[in-house]
Amino acid sequence: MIRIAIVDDSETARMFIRRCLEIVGFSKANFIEADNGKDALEKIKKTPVDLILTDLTMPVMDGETLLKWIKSNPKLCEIPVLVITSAGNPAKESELIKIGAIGVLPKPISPAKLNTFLAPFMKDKEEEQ
Amino acid sequence: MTETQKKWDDIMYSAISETIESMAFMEVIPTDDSHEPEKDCLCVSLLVHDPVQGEFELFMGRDLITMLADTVYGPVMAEVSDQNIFDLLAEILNTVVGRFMSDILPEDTSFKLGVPEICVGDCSRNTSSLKKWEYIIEDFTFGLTVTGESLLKLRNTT
Repeated sequence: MIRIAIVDDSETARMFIRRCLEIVGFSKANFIEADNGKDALEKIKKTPVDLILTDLTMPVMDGETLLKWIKSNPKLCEIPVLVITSAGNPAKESELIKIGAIGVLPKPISPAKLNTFLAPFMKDKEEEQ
Repeated sequence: MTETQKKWDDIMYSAISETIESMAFMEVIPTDDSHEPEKDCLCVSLLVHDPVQGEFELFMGRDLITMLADTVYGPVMAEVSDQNIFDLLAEILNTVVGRFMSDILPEDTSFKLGVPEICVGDCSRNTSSLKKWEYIIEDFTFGLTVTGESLLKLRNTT
C-alpha cells in the first residue's frame, strides 16, 4: 500500500489535499498527516513514506527546511516531495526544484492540477507492483 | 479609479473567486456597495513580511463561513467545530493572499507571508491607508482589507 505524508499546518488544507488525492486514484493509500516539518520528519523516520506533499509556510519547521532535510538524508532522499503552497512564484519554484522538489503546485489545488504532477509517479508505482 | 487600482480589483477578484470555487464550489460576486459588518462577524489576519510589509484581513459572518465549512467538511465530518471554522477562514485568506501577491509582484520576486491569526477586535476596523473589497456569496456579504504603506505603494507600479 502506498504511504503518503501530507504536511500542512491547516487541518482544512490537509483534508482538502487528501480528498484530491483520493479523487485522482489514491483512495487506498495510507495517509500520514503532520502540521509542520519537524513533526513530519519524526513521523517519516518512524514510518517511511512513498510520497510527501508539503506546504511551505508553517510554524516550527517550514516546508523548505523539511525539503532540505529530506534531500540531505541518504535514507530519505529518494522520496518524491511535491510542494503545495500559496506563497509560490516562478523564482521560488525554481529554487525549490533545485533543492529537489518534483514540483511546486500553487493553492488552490484541484484534483486535475494534482494529477498533472502525480500521474508519472503513479505510473512508476504501478510498474513496481 | 485608476487603471492600476482596477487591475488590483481584478487580481483580487480572480484570487478570491478561484479559491472559493475550488474549495466550496460556490460563486463569488463582487459588489461596490458598502455593507455594515455582519452581527456575528469573524475575522482572520495575515501579515506580509517581504519584500513589502502589510496586513490582509478577511471578514466573514458566521452564517456564511459555517455554510462554506459545511460544504468543505461535510463529506468527512458530521459536525463542524469552531476550530474547523477558523481553520477554514485562515486557509481561505492564506490562499487568496498568496495568489494576490504572486500576481502583483514581478515573477522573479519571492515573497514571505506570516501565519494566519484570528483578529483581535471587531469587524468594523478602519484605518487611513485602507483598501477594501466586498463580495457576495448567495445572500451573504463578506470583505477583505489590506493595510501597509509599502504594500499599498505597489498599486502605483503594478
